Amino acid sequence: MNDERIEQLLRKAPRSPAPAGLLETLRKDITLPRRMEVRPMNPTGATPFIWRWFPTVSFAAIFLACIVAIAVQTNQITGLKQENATLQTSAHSLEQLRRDNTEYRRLKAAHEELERFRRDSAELQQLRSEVMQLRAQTQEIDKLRAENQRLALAGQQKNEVSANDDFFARNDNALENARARAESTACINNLKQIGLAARIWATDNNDVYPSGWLAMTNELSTPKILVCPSDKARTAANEWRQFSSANVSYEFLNPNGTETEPQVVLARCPIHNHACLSDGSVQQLGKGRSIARNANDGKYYIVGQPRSNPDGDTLDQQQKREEMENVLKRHGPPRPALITTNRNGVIVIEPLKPSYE
Amino acid sequence: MSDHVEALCHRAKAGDISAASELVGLFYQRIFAYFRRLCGNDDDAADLTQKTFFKVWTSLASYQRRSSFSTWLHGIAHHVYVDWRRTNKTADSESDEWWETRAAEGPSPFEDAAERDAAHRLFALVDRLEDRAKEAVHLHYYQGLSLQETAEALGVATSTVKYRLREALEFLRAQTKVPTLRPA
Repeated sequence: MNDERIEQLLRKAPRSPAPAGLLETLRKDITLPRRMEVRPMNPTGATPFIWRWFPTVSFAAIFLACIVAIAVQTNQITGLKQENATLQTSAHSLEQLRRDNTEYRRLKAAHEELERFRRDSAELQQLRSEVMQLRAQTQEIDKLRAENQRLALAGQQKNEVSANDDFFARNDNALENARARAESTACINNLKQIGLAARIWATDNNDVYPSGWLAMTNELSTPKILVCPSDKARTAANEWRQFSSANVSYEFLNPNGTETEPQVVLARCPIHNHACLSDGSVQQLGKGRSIARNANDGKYYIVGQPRSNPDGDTLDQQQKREEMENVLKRHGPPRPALITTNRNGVIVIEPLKPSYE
Repeated sequence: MSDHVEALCHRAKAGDISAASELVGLFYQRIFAYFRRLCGNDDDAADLTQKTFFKVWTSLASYQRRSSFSTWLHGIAHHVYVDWRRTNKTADSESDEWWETRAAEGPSPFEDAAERDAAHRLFALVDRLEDRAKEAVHLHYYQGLSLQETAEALGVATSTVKYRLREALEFLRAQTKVPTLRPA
């Protein structure tokens, strides 16, 4: 059976009649709303204007909305790009500022270090000038002593100045004290130079002090400053090639130490008991203070307090007082004497007898 | 006819009972026949017809004349049938006696007994079609709707209706080629 035949037969399908009474039932069930708002029929059957143009208007509205959306997004993207460029510029300038700040800090630290060296150098110059002055005084004292000895010898020969012994003895003691003070000052000067050399070495070696004397031969001007002037048992080496442990008087107490511990003793003079601290300063310990080793870190520190003086004297004055007391103990109180010149031009000192004798 | 129906519909929307009654008289037999062929019995077909017209009256205000009233009415009937199928059992298939009874009541549309036999076999095969193809055959061939009206009633595209009808015809053609054994 072909398609046309099938379609023809299907179109002839019989229609069963509705049962009786269905029409009446359906008509009874009609429930129309009482008042329905009905739009007037379009007699011409033409489609209203809005329906005819709806596709075009809707398409145009969507197109315009897309254009507006694209414009808004483009505007936002442009703003974001400008903001991004501004931020990138700020980031570049910030990086430059950071570098400048780092350079400024480095230069500031270097400047501070240089200032410290300048102060140390000025102090060193002052000590040197003081040492020169003391040396000159020492030479003058030597001359006076030689002349004194010559005069004393002449007096002994003539048996005329036997009573002047006490005077010369006191004079000799004063000279000895002056010499000792000059040597102590020279010793301080040596320690000051040692501390400065150690700090220069540490600056070049990550703030770590050298392990010994031979490590800082470039920083020390000469090996002669390693011998205390009062140390008569040792002689100074003229060159570093000749340097040995016999050519040094000072003890190096803080090998491989750091600058972060300024109170640690770097070197000391066993004769004068002077201490050079790790910050480059030199301390005259005097009485009441000493150097002791800390059991925890194995380093040396200054312990004790300087002995107080009831008269409020300084250390220098206290030292002079002690010297004077020693002279009085040895030679008794000073006695009045008459100083004259004899015929040969020699100074003659005649002790005066007390009136009660 | 179409203008007359549209005028009646307009009057019914305005609340004219007589116009609504006339609309019922014009369409109730087609709708009943549609349901009768699909459901297979008179009672269900009458119930569904009543439901269909009830929905017509309650939805008449939403009728915008985008399609003809007949198409709109068949669309409502289609949805009523789908709802009924969803909640009820499957439809009874028509028996050969029923088809013969329907044919015997009025003047026979078939020319001879051979054509009548072929038609009965064809109608029985239509009942075996898949639901969607069967609905398309019912609306297009049995109810006499055009392809566009059938598509609007089913809520699908015209091309879909054509495809379903072509499938149905292929099935029917294939089935009618094989001679069926009839009981002696």
